[in-house]
Amino acid sequence: MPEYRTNALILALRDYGEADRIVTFFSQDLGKMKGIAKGAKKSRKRFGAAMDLFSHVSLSFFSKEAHGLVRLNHCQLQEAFSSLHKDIIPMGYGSYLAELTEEMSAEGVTHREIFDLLWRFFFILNTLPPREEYLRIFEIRLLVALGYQPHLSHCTVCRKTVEKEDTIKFSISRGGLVCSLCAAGEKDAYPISIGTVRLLQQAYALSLDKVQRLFFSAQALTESREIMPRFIQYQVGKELKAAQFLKQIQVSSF
Amino acid sequence: MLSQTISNLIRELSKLPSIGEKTAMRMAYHLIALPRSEVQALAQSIIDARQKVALCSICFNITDEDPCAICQGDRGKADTICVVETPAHLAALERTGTFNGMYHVLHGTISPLRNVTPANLKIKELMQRLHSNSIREVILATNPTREGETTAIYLAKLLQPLGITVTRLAQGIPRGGEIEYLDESTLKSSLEGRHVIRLD
Repeated sequence: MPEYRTNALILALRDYGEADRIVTFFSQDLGKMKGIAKGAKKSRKRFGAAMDLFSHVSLSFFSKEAHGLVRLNHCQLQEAFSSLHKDIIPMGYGSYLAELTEEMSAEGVTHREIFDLLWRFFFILNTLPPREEYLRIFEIRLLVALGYQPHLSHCTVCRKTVEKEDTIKFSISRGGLVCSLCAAGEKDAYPISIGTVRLLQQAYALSLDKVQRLFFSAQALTESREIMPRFIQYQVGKELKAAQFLKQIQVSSF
Repeated sequence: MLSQTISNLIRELSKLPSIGEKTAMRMAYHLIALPRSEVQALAQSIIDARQKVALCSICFNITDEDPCAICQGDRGKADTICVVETPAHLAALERTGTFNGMYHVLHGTISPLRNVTPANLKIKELMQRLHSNSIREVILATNPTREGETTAIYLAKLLQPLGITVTRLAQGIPRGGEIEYLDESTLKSSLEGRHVIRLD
């Protein structure tokens, strides 16, 4: 059974049996994976404090072909992102990014861009005060990276390019804009201004090291809050637990 | 082909945590090989536990009398409350025999990934206890994991305005541990939490 070594970000941990843990991680080289860490709750020597949510770790594991669960062998901490748990909001935001990545990405598909995206946003949440924009920017960049890019340049019904003065909406089921003429029969369409459209376009066009410089207006925050979580829920097929959590603690993100 | 009775027993046993179908089957065959009196004692103790055991109305530990023995007892440090995640953690701390204060069981930790908010834990009840009793110290004994730390910091922020001393369990090298095998995070915690050796 070959041994693999990779860098990874821990997305989820679940207790299994008396001392084992099922670990979901997003690796730099092999994408999302699930593994079993035997004796993780007891063995501080092999896994230590490194095996924790959101941690950036170096992992080694054994994998049989055609077997879903890899066997984790060793885990060394690279970056703990320890400010994420210093407050309930960054913890909620970090959890939302991790859960979204876990739900939307396919297992075993290499996707370096997503690893870099998640790492960057954990880094931002660890170093800067939490802002709602970060969730929206992450959402749209993840959607684009996975091929679910919303159509933000033209009406998804009549294909007309949207202009500055147009009254437009965003249709959740069509995955993009609908002009005022075509929006009449759309049940799941929400108003969106051209300003918000431009900000969302910028959110995925900006280079990753500059995303923290993007600020949304109050109107853009309200409109994107109405649209993006609904679009995500439509794609995933359920409401994420972390989104429910953020709603319940009454953080204006959802 | 298994009998219907045995199949039912295996199915019920395999609902228990950490019990797979094979283990459940081994347990089922072991149970039917036992003397009838032993099986009856086991079944009765399960029924009794389910019927009699409840949560203590003060500390929320599992108990068969309310308040529990700890809350009723004459503890030396009744002005100190140790906050733990689960009754199992309380039992582990009691086994040390060194803590002589009171406890408060949260029944979980703040967990966005499981949608567990502070309102789902026994935090409101803890605050009520602190307001109605003269408590001088609260020890936060949640796990040193991401969710345990979030809960501890959340509680510390709630307790700060009350003027109560809030402490956290020390983190560092386990007894019998080897420094060269410890991870950097644990070693860092042990360096930060070092203490003066008292020789008296």
